Amino acid sequence: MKVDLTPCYILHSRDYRESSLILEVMSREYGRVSLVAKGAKRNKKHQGINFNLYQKYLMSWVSRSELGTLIDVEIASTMNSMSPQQMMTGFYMNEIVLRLLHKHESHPELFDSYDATIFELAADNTDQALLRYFEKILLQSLGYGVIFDQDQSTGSPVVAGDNYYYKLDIGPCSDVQANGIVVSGKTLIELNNETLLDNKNKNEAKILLRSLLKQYLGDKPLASRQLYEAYIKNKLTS
Amino acid sequence: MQQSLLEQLVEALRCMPGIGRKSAQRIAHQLLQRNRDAARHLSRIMADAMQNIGHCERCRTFTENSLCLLCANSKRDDSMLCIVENPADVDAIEEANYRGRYFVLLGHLSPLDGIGPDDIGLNELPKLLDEEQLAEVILATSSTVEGEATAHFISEMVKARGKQVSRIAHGVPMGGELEYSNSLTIAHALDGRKQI
Ligand SMILES: [Zn+2]
Repeated sequence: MKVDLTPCYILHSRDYRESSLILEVMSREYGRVSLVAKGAKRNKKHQGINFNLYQKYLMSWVSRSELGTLIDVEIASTMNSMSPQQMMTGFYMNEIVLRLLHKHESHPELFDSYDATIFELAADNTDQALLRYFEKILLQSLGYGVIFDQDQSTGSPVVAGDNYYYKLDIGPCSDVQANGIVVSGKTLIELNNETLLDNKNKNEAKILLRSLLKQYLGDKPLASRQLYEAYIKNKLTS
Repeated sequence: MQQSLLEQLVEALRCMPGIGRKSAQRIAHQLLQRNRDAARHLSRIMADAMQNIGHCERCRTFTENSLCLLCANSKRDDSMLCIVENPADVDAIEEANYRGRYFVLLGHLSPLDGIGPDDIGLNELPKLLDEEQLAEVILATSSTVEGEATAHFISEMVKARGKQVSRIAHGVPMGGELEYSNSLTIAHALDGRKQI
């Protein structure tokens, strides 16, 4: 297969042989792919373009097996430098995408959400709701069928003034017997419409999405979250 | 069936970076055919090195002594500490006429590879930062996202101790690694370091 200059982000890269890199890439049209960038560490090939996280590229590659070969790369849009805190948020996004997104499954809407979120992070937008919308779109594009806007006990639309019990494999239920995570209708609606405003609702959404993601991420802790916690602790105690 | 000795040699040679099956075979044949003495010498040195080279107690670079030559040198400037990712970066910065001390991380923070603060020796760094003579820390991690995150993490530790911290800035291309820059570029980068 040969792919011509398609939008991509690098989620992770690692050294390969003397001077090459293996890039774990999320492309808009072809999903996740692994590509060898030959000679990338020496800056000679690829017109001196550096490979970095959070930078949008156009990449061309050929692949005959699992591992493709990068043959051309251009920078799609210049990246603003990111604050360290935002970099760590980006590590988290990359880690959950790498853990959950299968190779070669194309999800343009997920790519667009990633793209928009990175753009906001680089603009130093610190609204934690950004990350919630990204998590929501990740879950939706992976086909987990998460529901926020319909009461699964009655089939009626979720009402802002009511409280719901969110059952992870079903959705919001108004039935008191449902025994799930308690979440307000307002949070559910605002998460669904991407209009979260108050901290109370943002925190509820955070707890809900963390539980939903945990189902698919499993028990292995997220290294990016551990790093973030170490960073905060270091900042406070040193 | 047991592998022949030759097969075992080829297999063993593949542990070297950048050496695939074909190259390993070529190396094995070449050594057996015309360079057995050198290969014997290599195997002795290799065994000795793997047995005896450890990490410098101060800067973490590779050495067979408790302190490396640079750390043991009393003429170095104790007021400066330069933090780099790799031992090769030390050589590069030495060529640029830096005369202070070093700390070698042997990597950078990379959560997706499972590399956290303790894995790059940040638990050992405070005792160096607390030394009275130390006035300035220069962060010379690579200008990749991971290198930047590492630099920031360390800068918080330095600032909390009220010491100066700067980051090499100019000359090293974004996404560039020190090891592959020339000494003139690094000299510029050191001169043009920015306080952070
Ligand atoms: Zn040393």
